[in-house]
Amino acid sequence: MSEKVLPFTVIGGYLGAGKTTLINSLLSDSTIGRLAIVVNDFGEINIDESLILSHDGDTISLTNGCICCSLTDGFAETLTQIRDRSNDIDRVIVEVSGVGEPRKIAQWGHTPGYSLDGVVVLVDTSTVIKRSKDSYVGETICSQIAAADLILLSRCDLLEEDEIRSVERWLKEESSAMALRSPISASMLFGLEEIGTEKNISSLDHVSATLEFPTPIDLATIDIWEKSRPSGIVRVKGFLRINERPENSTEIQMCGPNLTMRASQSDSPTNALVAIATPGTPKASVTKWLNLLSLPN
Amino acid sequence: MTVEVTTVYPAAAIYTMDSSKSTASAVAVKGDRFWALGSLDEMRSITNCEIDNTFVDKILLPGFVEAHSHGMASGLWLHTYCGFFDRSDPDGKKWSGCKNISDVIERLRVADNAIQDPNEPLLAWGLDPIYFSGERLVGSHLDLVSLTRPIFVLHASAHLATVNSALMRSEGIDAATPMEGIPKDAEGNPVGELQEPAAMSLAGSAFRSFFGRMKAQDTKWALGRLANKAGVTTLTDLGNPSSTSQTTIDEWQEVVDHRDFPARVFIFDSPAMSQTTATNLLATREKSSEKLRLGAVKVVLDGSIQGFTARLRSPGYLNDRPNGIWVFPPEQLTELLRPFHEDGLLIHVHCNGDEAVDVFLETVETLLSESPKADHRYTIQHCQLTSPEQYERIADLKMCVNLFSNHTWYWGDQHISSTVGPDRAARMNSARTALNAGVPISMHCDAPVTPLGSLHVAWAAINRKTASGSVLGAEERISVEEALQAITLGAAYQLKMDTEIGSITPGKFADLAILEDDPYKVDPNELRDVSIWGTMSGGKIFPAENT
Repeated sequence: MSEKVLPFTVIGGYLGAGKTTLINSLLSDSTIGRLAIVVNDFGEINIDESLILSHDGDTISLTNGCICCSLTDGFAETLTQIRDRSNDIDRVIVEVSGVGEPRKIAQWGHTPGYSLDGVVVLVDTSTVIKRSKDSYVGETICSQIAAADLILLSRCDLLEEDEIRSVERWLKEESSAMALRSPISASMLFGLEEIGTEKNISSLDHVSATLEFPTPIDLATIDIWEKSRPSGIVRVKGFLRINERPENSTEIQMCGPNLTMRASQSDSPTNALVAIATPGTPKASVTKWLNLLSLPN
Repeated sequence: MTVEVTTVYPAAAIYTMDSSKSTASAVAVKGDRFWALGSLDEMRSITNCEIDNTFVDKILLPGFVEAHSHGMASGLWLHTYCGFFDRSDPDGKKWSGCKNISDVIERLRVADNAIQDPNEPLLAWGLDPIYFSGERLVGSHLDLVSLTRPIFVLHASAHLATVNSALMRSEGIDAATPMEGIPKDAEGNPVGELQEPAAMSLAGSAFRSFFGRMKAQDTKWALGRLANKAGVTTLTDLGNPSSTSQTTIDEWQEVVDHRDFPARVFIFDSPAMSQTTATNLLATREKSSEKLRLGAVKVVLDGSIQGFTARLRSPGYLNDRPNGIWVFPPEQLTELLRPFHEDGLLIHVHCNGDEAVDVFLETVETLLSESPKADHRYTIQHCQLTSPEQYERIADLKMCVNLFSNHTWYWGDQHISSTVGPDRAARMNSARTALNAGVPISMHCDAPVTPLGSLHVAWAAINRKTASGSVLGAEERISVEEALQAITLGAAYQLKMDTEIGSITPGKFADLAILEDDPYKVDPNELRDVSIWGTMSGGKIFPAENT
């Protein structure tokens, strides 16, 4: 088995929120790398026939190197199968069923060989508030939103600006996650792959800033820094050398409000972070925030 | 020309469940069918008949029909039983219940000693700490069994497992494990509980062998032995996402169609978890044999009441606990079922909570108004909290219900104290209300959730006793006759097999439950203790002792 760790992103959201549209757009985006998409049911994603290379039981292989796996054998088995071919895969995306609990599914991202990257929850901006009051599914929708690291608003094109704003205000009450209007760049969805090489910038320009730190950093400083995150920061990714953890470098990931730190699998020599913010965020404020890390305690 | 021999079995009593001839003192069997019914004298005129006195002091009933069980019911017995209630394994061995933590440790010690290979994990199941008072069972208790052999104990709910230090060490589960569902102690070390499947899967090879071994062909034979000892001659695998795969069908056929397998098995597909289409399922139905039935639909709509995941109508769970979950989106049920409905396939839907029942009723109403079906037999599985008004609607839609009647015994006390309270607990599995509304009922044990035991289920519906001895919902009790009807012809009706099984009627399959005592004459309080001598399946006799 290879030592490679596959980033694991969960995409949730109620029926009609746009999960299938998002996944199909990711499948046709050549900048993201080779995806393994895990779905409940192939029928839901309607893969373009011309993209299908082969269909073998629970796995569909696409011409661009991506694969789609169904969950007939359950998560444990499916993740074992994907890990067995991790040399041919760059990232795993799991589509949660319309009534599924994304936070529960996200726990599979801590399976050995994987690294949980974040929970993205889509909402249909035109119906979400009405549906949140539905006696059958209202609670389900609210708990999905509460479980998100990032919320993506779909169908904004059907609405007036003030209607979208009122949904955004409502979402702030329901969740601590940042809500972004769809579409967004793949970098915002997944973070940048490598420090300094912003290879997957799409036309939807986000703002990004990279900073390298000359010396190791204290855990206490990270704590203070995390809490002073300015609005607009969607993702942070990179490796730090931390004073309290001298043995190996620490991988840092922030998706929405959630910061995760774990011992790096590769012994990366870098001591640097990249931060990504929504379009319109002043780059200076992003850089200034990253700089807080290099200040003495 | 030789004429096939007809065997006449005189018996102490025969209860046929056939309303036009409800009792007899002898039954004639030719080939795999009942041939005639009446007194021994009446039978003597049958050409080329032989009299067989095997059942002369036994009581004969139609073989019991379990319309909600699972194929994996027997596989768990490959592992060590640690449940709270006494339970019998497929070989008839009685395992006493583990009433406290010491019992669990002792049970596991015995199992540990029996395993030669020091590296082989000790796998156990059925643990139900909800019944233990005081301290919670954790990994350090299991360390008292072994510090070196990995131990994995699956709880009765199947949602969590307790493991020992040796297992955590070998699989690298420690303070740094980031997954949720792994409770840690004050020092930050995992206590040995793995909650929900993602965390349980971290138990690695123990987790894989626990579930992997259960797929062995032998477990299907063991299922037959479990059925035989319970008097069950037809059972179900209710919800198998690979029921249309030829491999699955071949594996089941090899066992069930064998002359020595003592039961019929009906496998339902779960199209919500598979890619099964109606066309697919119709083709699969054609592959059915007399003993192996295929080509029906099961959908799970909500969770369980004792797990607080069933969808309830107001006032919901006690203490304002949040409502349960949808396992399948309510808004998509009509769309999912429509093609199966159009093709006239049999559809059963799991609805534990009353809100889930509402969704299913709305769906059936829509489908029937789009495309009426005269004899659909839509069945609500579990149907535990259904109100009298809902039963009226169920009757109007000509639907059936299959009640989880033994819940009163296994979880009745918990339903009173922690899930829904005494008032709504009293209406759980309300067989009386259902029958009064004219709704066809059956009752099930959902094995392996509770032990396969039709007489126990009937006993529960007749007496409605909880494990602590109180009567829960006395007004919902039904008669012995009604209960026995429900576990035979009632269940056969819901499987659309009532023209073939479910009563002792000439022409039907010769499937019998053979009892030592008369269920109509014993104290109804003791119905569950009636001994089962064995069964007859398709004319072949299967004494429980020999299987």
